[in-house]
Amino acid sequence: MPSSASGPVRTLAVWCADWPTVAVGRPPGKPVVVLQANRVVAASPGARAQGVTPGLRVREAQARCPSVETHERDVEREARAFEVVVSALEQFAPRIEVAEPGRCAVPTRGPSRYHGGDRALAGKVLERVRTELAAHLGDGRVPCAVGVAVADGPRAAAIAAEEAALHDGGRRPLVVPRGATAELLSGLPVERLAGGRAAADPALDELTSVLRRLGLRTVGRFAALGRPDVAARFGTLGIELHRLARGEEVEPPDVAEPPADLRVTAAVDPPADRVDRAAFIAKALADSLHAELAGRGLACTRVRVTAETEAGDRIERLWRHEGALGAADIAQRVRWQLDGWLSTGRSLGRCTGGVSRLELAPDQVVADTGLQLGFWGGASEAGERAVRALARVQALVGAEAVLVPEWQGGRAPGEQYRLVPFDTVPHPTGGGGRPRRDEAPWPGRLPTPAPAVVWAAPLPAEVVDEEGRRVGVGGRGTISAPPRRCRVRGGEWSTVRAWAGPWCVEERWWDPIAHRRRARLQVVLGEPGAHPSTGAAHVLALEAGQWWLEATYD
Amino acid sequence: MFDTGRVTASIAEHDPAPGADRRSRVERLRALVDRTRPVTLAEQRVLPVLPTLEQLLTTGAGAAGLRRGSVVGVAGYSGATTLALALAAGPTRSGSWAAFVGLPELGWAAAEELGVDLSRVVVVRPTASARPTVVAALLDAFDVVVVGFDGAPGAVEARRLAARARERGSVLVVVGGRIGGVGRSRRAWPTGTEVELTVIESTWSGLEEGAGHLRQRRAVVEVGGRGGWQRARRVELLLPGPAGQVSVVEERSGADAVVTPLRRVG
Repeated sequence: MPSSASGPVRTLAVWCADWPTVAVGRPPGKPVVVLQANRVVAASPGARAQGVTPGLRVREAQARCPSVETHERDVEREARAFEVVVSALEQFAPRIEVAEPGRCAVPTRGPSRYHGGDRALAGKVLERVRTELAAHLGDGRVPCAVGVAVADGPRAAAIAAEEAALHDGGRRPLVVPRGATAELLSGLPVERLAGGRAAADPALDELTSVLRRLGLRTVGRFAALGRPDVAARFGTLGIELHRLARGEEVEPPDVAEPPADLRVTAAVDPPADRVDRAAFIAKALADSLHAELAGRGLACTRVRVTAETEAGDRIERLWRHEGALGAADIAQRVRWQLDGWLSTGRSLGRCTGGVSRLELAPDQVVADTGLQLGFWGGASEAGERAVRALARVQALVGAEAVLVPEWQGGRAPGEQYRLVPFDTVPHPTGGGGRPRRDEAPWPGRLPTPAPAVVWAAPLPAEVVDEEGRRVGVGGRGTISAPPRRCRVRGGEWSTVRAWAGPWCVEERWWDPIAHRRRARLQVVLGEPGAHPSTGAAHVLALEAGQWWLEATYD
Repeated sequence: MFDTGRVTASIAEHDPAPGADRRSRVERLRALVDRTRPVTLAEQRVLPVLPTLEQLLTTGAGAAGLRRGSVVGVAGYSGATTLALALAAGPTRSGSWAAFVGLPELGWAAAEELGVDLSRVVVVRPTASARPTVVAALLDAFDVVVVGFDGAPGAVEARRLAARARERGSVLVVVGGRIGGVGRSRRAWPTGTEVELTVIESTWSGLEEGAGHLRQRRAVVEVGGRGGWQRARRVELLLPGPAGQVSVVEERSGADAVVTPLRRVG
């Protein structure tokens, strides 16, 4: 198992393009997209032909293809459907490593000797996977491009499989001769080194974007850098990617053999026919395994899940994860495995009866170096929760009714911020990319503090002086007489206890249509019939001979 | 050069002591992490607010802030909106998100000055019929939901929302108030709320006869509410102060700047 001494392990990888849309089960020619938090995560070939790609917002996707069908992402459904592919592979190799629904890998040392070489094995695997997919998920047609590739190292094989699917439509397997992995990878864009993990791992995403901005657009150019330079500039993650780019992928050096006694078993009595009963027990098992590992300062990156039925059928699968698997992750993967086995496996005739025994064993462990969510985990988690809830609310009220304030600058109260639809703002989960309030002087702007209530439609008002004549403001900004009484929208007359101003603003004097001249006053109006010290402050604006109540300092 | 891939700081590598000692060290480190984490602990169940507002929201047990799962009512002839925005400032600054429903007239410059972090603020404008569902959906995920009702919420809806807030640990702030007697008025919560903040006095200073500008408002806020853990009391605040923030009232002498009125000279 430890392979750092002997070089990368030859691995066969299978990659199914846009697996979430395949799991939905519609014909591949129809445009179907799968959404998560209002963004497209997968698009069927029919949708891609219309220009819809993952990463778009749902409104953009609908703009490009109005007849597209949208489905919310359901990882359980994807895992259940992927059982078809994994069970097809099981006749070639006993231990299949699944990274997530859509990607799996098999070490090829034994199987390719048995089947007559790497190319023969890959060809047979591709053939078999395509047949099974067409039979169970595609109504006779293969529903997606399937890439099968053999290369040095599991990650390189995954990238090669992706390349095979994209480049050739998955018609032929891609077998990279031993030692030629670097050559294959050299022509690819550098983002592909992330291999599908970029969405989950922001540090990786950041690193590939930095590489691209530095001009290292292809993997070959990145591989041509010297290792000391990469180590100095990019650190451990950079070294890992650099090794991958050179085709010298090794397991991380802190990977170790797990202690032999770290295995947890549970007997399910009576045997569980349905997934949720077994999943409940699996969750308890996962918690106890995680606690055992944590007590020794270890975290699991690959776990072997074994389930047995009362009739003697047995399923064993390896689940691999790039980071450490927490208790909830392990429980989720057990649930996927059981779900797939009990539903699809039963239809394939490979599983009879209920699950009677469950066993979890860590297959690969690393030293546990920290928490998963980020040390002060709260902030981004709250943001993710908020974004998901807003997707639901947008479905209820429409995208135009969910808004965020954006700074734009201005003189009138309320002009400084405007409300824009939530999904037009970049980086909605807090911070980054939105215009910041600046401290530029805006002549004519009312000084701080700003009014807390700004009337969207200013209310018509009348302002009169001692003699009852309307108060006006002359051309030089001088007021005709001190205001004494005021009433808003034909209501009761209130006394003006104090006032200040006028602040005059002349906007766009060069534009005959948009030219506006306004004068503003701050007033404190007494409440009719109340204590003299209680008063409400307002902003009154005069424009073209009519007074308006623009804002209230509520 | 060194291969940095091999230099990892981990307990397994650097700790020579075996087994049980390592386990106890891990336990102690985890306890330390739990104690130093700044997000709200489940036991305390309180959202942090601005330091000046803590005197309004002290519970008997010593923790001051918006108690999770409670409904807070804000009212007053003038000053309710500023106080509601100030209540939302503390939570947004410490990482919680806030949603504002049914308050189309909010001034966001004032919110920014009071300390609300606008990158964690969302405004939702549902129709009246969709409002109960939307507020319920928002209470699921947002820590603070600030609502203004233009149509009075029925007793059933009020009970349901209060139950939802309690279950999810969110705070529902109901903004009432007369907005100085102009415009449309906001309806009050039909039943009593856990915390009731009413601005009973509001005195602006800074305006002379045509000179100066509004500087600060001295407000007296009456704190009430059912639940027994809030004593009825009155607190004096600057709401807002000169820079737009909420602050304590300083001593009278010399605080109000003397403004000399301008004189026309030809």
